[in-house]
Amino acid sequence: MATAMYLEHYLDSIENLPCELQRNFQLMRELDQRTEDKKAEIDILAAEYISRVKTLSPDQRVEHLQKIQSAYSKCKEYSDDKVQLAMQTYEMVDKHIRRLDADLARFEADLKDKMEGSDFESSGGRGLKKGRGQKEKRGSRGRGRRTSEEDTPKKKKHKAGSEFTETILSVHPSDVLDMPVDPNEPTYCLCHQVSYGEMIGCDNPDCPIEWFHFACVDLTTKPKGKWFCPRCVQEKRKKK
Amino acid sequence: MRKPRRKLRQNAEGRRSPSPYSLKCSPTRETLTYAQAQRIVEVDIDGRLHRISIYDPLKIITEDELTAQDITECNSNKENSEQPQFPGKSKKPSSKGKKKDSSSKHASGTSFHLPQPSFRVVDSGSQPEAPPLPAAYYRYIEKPPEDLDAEVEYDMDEEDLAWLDMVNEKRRIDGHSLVSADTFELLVDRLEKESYLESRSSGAQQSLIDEDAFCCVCLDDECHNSNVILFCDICNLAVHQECYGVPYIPEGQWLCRCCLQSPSRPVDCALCPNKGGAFKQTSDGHWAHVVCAIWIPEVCFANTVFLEPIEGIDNIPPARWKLTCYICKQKGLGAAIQCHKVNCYTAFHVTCAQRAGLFMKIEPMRETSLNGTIFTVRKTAYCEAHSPSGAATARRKGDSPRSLSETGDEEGLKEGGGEEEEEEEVEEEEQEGQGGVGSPLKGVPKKSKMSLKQKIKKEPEEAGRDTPSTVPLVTVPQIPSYRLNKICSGLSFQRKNQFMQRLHNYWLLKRQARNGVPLIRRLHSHLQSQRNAEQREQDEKTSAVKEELKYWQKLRHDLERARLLIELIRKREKLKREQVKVQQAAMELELMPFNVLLRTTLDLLQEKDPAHIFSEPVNLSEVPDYLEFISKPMDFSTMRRKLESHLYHTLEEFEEDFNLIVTNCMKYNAKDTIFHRAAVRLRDLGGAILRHARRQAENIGYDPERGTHLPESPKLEDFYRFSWEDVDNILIPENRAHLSPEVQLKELLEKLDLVSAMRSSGARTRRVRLLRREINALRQKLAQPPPLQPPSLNKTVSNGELPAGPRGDAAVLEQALQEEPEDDVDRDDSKLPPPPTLEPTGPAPSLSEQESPPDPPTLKPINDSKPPSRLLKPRKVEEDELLEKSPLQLGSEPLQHLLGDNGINRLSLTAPDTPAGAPLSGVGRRTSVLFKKAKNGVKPQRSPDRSLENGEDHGLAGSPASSASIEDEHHSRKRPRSRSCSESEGERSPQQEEETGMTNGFGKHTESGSDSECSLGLSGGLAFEACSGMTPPKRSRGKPALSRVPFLEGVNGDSDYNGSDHRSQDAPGGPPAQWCSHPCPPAGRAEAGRAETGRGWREALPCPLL
Repeated sequence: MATAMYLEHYLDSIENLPCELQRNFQLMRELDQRTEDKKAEIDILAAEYISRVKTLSPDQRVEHLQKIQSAYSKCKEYSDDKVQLAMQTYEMVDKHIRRLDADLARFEADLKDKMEGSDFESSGGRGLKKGRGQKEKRGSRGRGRRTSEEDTPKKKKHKAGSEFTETILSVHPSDVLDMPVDPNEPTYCLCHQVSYGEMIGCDNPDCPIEWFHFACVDLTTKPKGKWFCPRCVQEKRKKK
Repeated sequence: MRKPRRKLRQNAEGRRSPSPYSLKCSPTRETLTYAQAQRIVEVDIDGRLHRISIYDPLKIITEDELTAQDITECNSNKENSEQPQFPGKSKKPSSKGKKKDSSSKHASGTSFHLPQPSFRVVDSGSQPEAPPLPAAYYRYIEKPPEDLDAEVEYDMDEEDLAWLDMVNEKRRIDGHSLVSADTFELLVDRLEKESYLESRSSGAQQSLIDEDAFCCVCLDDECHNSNVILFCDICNLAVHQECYGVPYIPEGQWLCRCCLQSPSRPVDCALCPNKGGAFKQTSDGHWAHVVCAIWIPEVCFANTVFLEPIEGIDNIPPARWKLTCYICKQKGLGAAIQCHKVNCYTAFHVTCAQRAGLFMKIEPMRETSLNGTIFTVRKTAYCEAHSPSGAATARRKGDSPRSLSETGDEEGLKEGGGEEEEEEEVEEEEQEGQGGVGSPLKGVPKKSKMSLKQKIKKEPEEAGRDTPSTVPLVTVPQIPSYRLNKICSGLSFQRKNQFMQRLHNYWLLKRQARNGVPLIRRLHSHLQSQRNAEQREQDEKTSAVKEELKYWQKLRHDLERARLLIELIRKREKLKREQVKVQQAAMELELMPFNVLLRTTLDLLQEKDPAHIFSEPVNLSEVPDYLEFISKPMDFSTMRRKLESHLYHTLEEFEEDFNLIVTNCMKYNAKDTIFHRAAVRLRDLGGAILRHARRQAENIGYDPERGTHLPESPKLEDFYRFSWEDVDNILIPENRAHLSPEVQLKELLEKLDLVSAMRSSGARTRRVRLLRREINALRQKLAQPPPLQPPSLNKTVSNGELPAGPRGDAAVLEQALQEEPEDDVDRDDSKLPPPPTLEPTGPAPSLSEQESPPDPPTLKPINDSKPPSRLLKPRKVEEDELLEKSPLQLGSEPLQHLLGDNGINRLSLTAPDTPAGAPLSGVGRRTSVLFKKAKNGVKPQRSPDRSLENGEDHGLAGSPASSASIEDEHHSRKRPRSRSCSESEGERSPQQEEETGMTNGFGKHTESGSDSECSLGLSGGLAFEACSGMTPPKRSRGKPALSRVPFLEGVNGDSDYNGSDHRSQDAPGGPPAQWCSHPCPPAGRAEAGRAETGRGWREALPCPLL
């Protein structure tokens, strides 16, 4: 189909995705392996330290401990790398998804145009009805998808602190539950549910939960400035 | 059995390599005579010669007998397998038979020749029929149109055969080869398909089927299974089976009578002037509308089933012929009927009325009238005027929407209005008639009633019919010659072109004879179903699009899942990272728990140093003389470094360093500097932290050698198990009498920690207070006995400080300097409260008296005013000396009173004091009064200060209590004090602060603001100082003097504001003078200090204030 040229292009572009995913996962695996190795090394070092600590001079102790410390810092480095890699991979897939969404929207728009055109030509009421029905079906489907896809940009934008999202998001507040729920879908928020509706990201980069439903944190509109989740607020207070 | 086969193979082998076998063969061959050879077949297998008589019966191996062994045998033989051994199992038996025949034949005849080439004839016809398979195995696959196009679908009929015969006859005569029937069929097929393509490309107008067509006889569009509406394949006339007399729907095409019998000539109805519609022939060979025949009473159908022919036209009375149709205004053209209304003679042609939409009802009477030969129906037709309104017209109303403009003339002719709808019908007919027939006669605008629903397809035909040419112009697409050439290009026979021409013409004629209907049925139906196909195509297209969409959505879904997975991975990795961190912490705790404890303790300690005074080593470039006084500098960062390098093995070492920090600071800095005070505060707060840490360490149990946990955790003293009884017990002095004061103090402190760790409650606060009191008491007690030395020393020192300063008593100063830190250290270590409170006042006055003789007179008024000022402001302003004593009493009494009231701390202070307190304070006051007066003069006196301070202590102690009389003063004082204390108010209450202030003795005056003036000034000053950037304390000499002056002035002002207005009244310029006096002594002292050491300075500086 000539109209789907961009979709063909998309297919071309996505061709590499599995490879890249594989590569990234491979890398992560390697890093993980290295981390595990380091951990084993640390265990050995620790055992050694405990057994010999009595005879060690302070300097030696420090030296020994430093070894362990450096091993740990290596571990942390690997872990950071892994997290980075995971985030990068996520971005990659996310990018593809967004592009696909854009292309699909275009595709649908094209189709709709065509449909309308052909509806005009074919005077048969049946054809018209069919076309309409199909359009409706597609429309609803499209909507469902759109909301789900908007999850991500919304998140991102929220994080970036832009107000723009609200206007977009408020458009489809109701039909967010269209997507079937994947049993493995990651859960967020204090309620440990999957993401739906408007979400807000905690501005604490180390927040264990990261995303919260507006309702669960008693928000109706996006707060101005930084926002911290109740847990992080508590932590902060404690630290103070 | 197998020999024949082997033999054959052998033959093949031999042919390939005859030489090796020839040796073996030759001897045996020679032995054969010709006659023998005739009868014997020689077979050489594997070098062995076999002879088989031709008379021997040879069995034929059937397929069934061919065992697997044979097959393997054959396969294992390389040479055999090279040959096409198994053309197919099924072929074997027959081929074998043939082989045998041929081989035996060869063998018998040519035994001397080289091996013969072997061959087999595969008889395809002999294949056994495959057993029929279950129906499930069969599936009908419709050939795609492309394949069908390639096939020859046309079958000749007799006509074609006859024509071909004729053509062939002619060709034979001409001496050309004949054209086979197959070729003919092929060519016709191609022509058909070509024309089909042509017609399809030229537009599908023929294929339109009017769904809502209605029968042009009864004008009804109902369509039952038994009475369907038929369409003429040529003129597209739509009639009901019954209406047109077609009991059975014929196979193939159906043509109306008119198209069937008079295709070339348009027919005219004998009974009306209108054209078009459903015609039937009359018995005399004319044509007439079916409707006309029905409606005109005299006319009937000969056969009422087939509704033909029409009879009885002759019976029509001449009168009927003469009627004038009121619709078409024609007279004498056909027979008209009249309105059935009685007395209405309006006449109209049946078809005209039909077009005009008049009320014409053919009642069901028709059924009842089927008895006779005459088709008598009860028919009612009314003229416009008498039509029951809407009855007849309702049905057709929506059928023909069109403009009214053209109907104008017709309408004008009509008598009544109100039948626009019907008119429209007419008008449609007219349009068609004009378009299709081309030349409707003027004055005969109405056309055949039957052609209401003509299709476009009909037009050319009608046009054709109209034209004079006898050949009806059917829509047979002409095939261009180049196409013809292409069609026959694959064939080769003589005179091809000529034949093709002829064939084409024949085909055209045939098509025309069939009125353009394709000769191939499939194509015919194709034409009909073309639109459906288009529809289907559209459906297919949409479904394809749907599929595509589905595909993309699936992809989208997969991607979404991938994203979710990666999100999970990301979370997992984050958790892993956290895990590593936690593991590290755990490992640290495992490997060096002691260090961790120390570190947290250090952190806590450092938290108590918000100004970061102690966090870094003293900058020696800033204070070059630091090392002169401090031999072992220490700070938190150094401690941390030591900690990290595992240099602390015990908590004691750690504590030692901490104490070093404090003592260093206190040693180097004067008491009244914020540094000093910060150090004191740190010491107090740190003490609690260290105590806590120690407890923890004991509870957890560390191995000092290794800095790790003990293998077994020590038996936990249930420190945290605790009851109020314990506390209460310990609160009773008798219960702990057996313990040494130090131990008691420790115990008490522990309990205090414990209690204050409790949840807040009334019981708790009470006990906390009690404990504090006890602790204070104990501290005092502790301070007292040894005291006699240190406190007195202190006193002398502190006393000496001031006096010594002015006097340049360096020795005393030095002593003071040295002692004080010691004192501090002592206190730090032992937590001994220093002497301060009231006891010292005892000795103090004496000292002060000794030292301040010159001053008292001058001081007196102020001092007088002061106590009252504390108690009653208004009074103190006026009554100076008068009130001198009474206020003192007053002062002490209320104080006492207050203290008593407020219990706790006050009690702790007062309890021991009470015996001596009042008098002492009295003395203090008095002396202070004296002193104050002296202050006005030249210098401040130390001792009165001190004595005052005692009084002040009371005052202070009491001040927090809400005594109305004191409040004003209290407020005024509280401000600076609270300011000065604010830093230290961590865990400790103001009271505690006071205690420490007291315990610190002089050093504490500054802090606790014991002396009204000094403390105010100082505390205010300190606060001021603190505000102004904490510069002075660590400064080297000289500088402070400069900064001190304004500072003091500021303080002065402060103190003035603070409510000691009496001074200014007493001695105008007093405060300034009073404070101005400071710069002087400091200067003097500074000189002295310089002469001596730098230390004196620092210490001495504040002293005058005290």
